[in-house]
Amino acid sequence: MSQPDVFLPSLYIRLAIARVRGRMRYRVGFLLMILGVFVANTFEFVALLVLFGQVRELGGWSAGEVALLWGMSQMSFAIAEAFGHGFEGLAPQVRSGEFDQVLVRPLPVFFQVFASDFQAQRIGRFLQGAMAVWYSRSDPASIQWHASDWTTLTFAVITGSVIFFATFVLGGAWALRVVDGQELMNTFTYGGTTLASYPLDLFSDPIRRAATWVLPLAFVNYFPALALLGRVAPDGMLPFGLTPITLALSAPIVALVYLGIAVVVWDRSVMRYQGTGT
Amino acid sequence: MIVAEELKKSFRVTTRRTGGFSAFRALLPGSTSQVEAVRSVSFSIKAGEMVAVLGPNGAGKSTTIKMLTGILVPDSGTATTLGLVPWKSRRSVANRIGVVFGQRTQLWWDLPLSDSLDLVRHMYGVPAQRFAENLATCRELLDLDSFLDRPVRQLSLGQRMRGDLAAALIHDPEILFLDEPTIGLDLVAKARIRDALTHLNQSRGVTVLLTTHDLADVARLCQRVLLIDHGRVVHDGGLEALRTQFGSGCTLVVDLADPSASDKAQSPGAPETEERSVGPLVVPGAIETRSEGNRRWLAFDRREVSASDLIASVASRYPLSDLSLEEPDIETVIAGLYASRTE
Repeated sequence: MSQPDVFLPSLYIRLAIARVRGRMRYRVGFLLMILGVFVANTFEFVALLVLFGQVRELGGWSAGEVALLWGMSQMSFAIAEAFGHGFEGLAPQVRSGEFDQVLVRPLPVFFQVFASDFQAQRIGRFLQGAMAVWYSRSDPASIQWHASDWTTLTFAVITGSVIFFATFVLGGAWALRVVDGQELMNTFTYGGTTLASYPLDLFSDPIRRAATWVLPLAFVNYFPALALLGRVAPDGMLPFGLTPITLALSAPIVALVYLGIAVVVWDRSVMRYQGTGT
Repeated sequence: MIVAEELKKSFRVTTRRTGGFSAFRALLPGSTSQVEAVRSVSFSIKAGEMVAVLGPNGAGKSTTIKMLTGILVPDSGTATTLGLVPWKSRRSVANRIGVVFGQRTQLWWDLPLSDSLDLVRHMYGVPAQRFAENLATCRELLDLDSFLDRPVRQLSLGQRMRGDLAAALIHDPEILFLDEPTIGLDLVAKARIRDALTHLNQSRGVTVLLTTHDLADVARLCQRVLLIDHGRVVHDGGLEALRTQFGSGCTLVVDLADPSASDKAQSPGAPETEERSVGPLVVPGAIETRSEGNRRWLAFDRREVSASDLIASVASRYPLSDLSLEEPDIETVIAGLYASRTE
């Protein structure tokens, strides 16, 4: 027996529970943390509503439609943060040398970082996102929600969370290479969610391209929302002239390819770390 | 068990940039310099040995351990741990070794120690039966019972270190790598860790490789010392041999019989005038380094002049009432070595 006989999914659950239990020891703090995330996001959403108190629509998008976009991106990001925080919080561990601990355990490095910091408190952001989607139903311009729309929404949110998660993995890979690159990485993760909170067709062309081809944020919620709302996109928004529905359906493939690239980059970064010992 | 052959490792050190856009500027070239952490380290350790790695900060001790445990890949040279190349078979090696970094913990900060040990058990896939046995051994050996149910963040440093050691023992490692296991501990806590290590080594045959700055650790635990300096092994052998190799500088302390005897007599009075009465002693092969009343300290190198020759020549020139020979202790020898590094 050269490598341990460990079933990784059950180990993941065990480590995630340990993480939640550790935080629950400070119950008040834990609940305040959820509340804090919730309140902070509420302000963001209220600011959005205040904006729509002044203007009726934003680049052709009504308040309810933007609320749908915003809610989808929040829910996806919340899931990604809950599962991807091990990668997001890697920089200080690399700096302090704690990351070395991972390398002396007989488990895959990716798994250990993935399982190191499950964050249940991100439910605060998720609920906020769900409320925004709920709110969007009150807008007459919004969707007549059918059962199939809920399915589409669920798939879109999960797909979006995979895309954000992969971005966190890339951020972790970055932390292994550049010790003080945290700020730059936050630009992509937190900047990404802000970008994805608004209709992409509001932004200038280079940003649209980057959000489609570099960091596929458009697949998080923009294309799926177009499909759900039955909207027509402005010229040049849709790659290869595909319909929003086709793009929405291809989003899971895009997300998995992106995740695959992130994992390869991660593995190479770990090898590089072992080679250079940043 | 452990073989290192001409291990070499250098780091690119980035000069830290401050101010705006530091994250972007860190990407620019020209801000790095090469530091040779390990230049050429070779040694081999047999099963059941207990070896201390000594050396000043930055000598390459930790880097060497990191290569032997598979954390880092060397630039050149090779090594095997348990017959495997650690950075190629990282997971297989990790499954058979235990590693403790004294400055960090692998325990879950917010959870009771017992929960941490249970999680470690599942990470190594240790069967319940064996875990129960090993835990019982650890509880007795490291006296864990009084704090097993307390969250790790509430433990004292000594308790936490015992907890970390227990966590490293859950999967029955054949080798223990310990990087400064007694750093910051009080004497009682140090003694506990040492007793536990001695027991593990003697009754279970665990091979131990530890780095330390505490010579008492070495004297108590290790028959063999690897002294690393400037990224090379400069001594490989016993602690006493280290003294004979590097501690050749001795001091002869003499008390002059009568200060007026060897010079023109002056009125006997205050010690200050006595001290002035005899100038620095002039003896071939030795230098006077200190004087206090009638007492003089003569430093000499044993390789150049023997103690008996020196005593004879001092006695022929000056009347002596008493003398003693001071040999350097290990601490002084090592401190001297560390100091010479910066010169």
